[in-house]
Amino acid sequence: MYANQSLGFPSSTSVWLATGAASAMLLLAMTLIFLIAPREATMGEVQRIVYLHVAMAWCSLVSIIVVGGCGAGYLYRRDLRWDCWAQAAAEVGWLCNLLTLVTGSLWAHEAWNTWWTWEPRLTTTLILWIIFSGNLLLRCNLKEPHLRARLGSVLGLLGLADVPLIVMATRWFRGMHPVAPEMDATMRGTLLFSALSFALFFALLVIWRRHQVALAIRLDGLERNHLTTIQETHG
Amino acid sequence: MISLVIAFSLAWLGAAGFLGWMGIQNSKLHIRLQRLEEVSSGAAQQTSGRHRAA
Repeated sequence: MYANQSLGFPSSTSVWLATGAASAMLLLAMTLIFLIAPREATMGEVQRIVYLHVAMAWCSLVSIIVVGGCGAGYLYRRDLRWDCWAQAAAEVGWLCNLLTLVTGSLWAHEAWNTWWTWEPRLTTTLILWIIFSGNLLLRCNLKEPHLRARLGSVLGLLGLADVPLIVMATRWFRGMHPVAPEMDATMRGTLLFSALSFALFFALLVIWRRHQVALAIRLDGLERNHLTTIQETHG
Repeated sequence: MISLVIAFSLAWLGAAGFLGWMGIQNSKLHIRLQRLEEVSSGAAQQTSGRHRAA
């Protein structure tokens, strides 16, 4: 009866083609980072962390924009399809944001000789990670889909409000985080290509995860209906 | 240099972990789907048995 339903992973050819493209792009990005991009004069090999760190940071910012946008869409339409996108983007965004903080910390240890400092951009990024974590904790603990979507949307919009603070932190609060440093053309190209490759990979993760979330919601509904039918039959 | 290795390893571990976790979620959905099929086919058999008895 339900055997033909897609089990989370979409079967469309375009998605699998995009997966192949993302894998090839990631492989090429790694080649560019480690073999083509020149060694930076001051920091040496450790500077290559920047290619990963910046890509993760951009992906986490795009994720929270998707979470906030879909949250607003849900609050306006009250349609759970918006919330499926919001949940999938929140999960992937949480991972990207965590990797931003960890790779940034590893870079800071070499550049600033400290793992962490309460610098404006670092602090606002940590706040975003706390908002992502809160969103996921809330989603794990609420069973009612519309209540979960409503509260998740509010947290998503709160995270969205943090985006301008993160982007402008270095200008508004004069922190020590580097702002668009001067780069060699090869280095800039590597950075952009790396960001694009990771963005495509994480976008695919969001698409796959959205299918799973949508299926889980449908299964919840079917299980509830079955339970009601069985109770009516026996009652 | 060790920071560079740790950073990239963690990124790949994170991505692989996420994919693995998605695989686990997929298995859970599969089990739920199978259980639902069993329950629905059992209920259908029970209903047709009652109809026949009536």
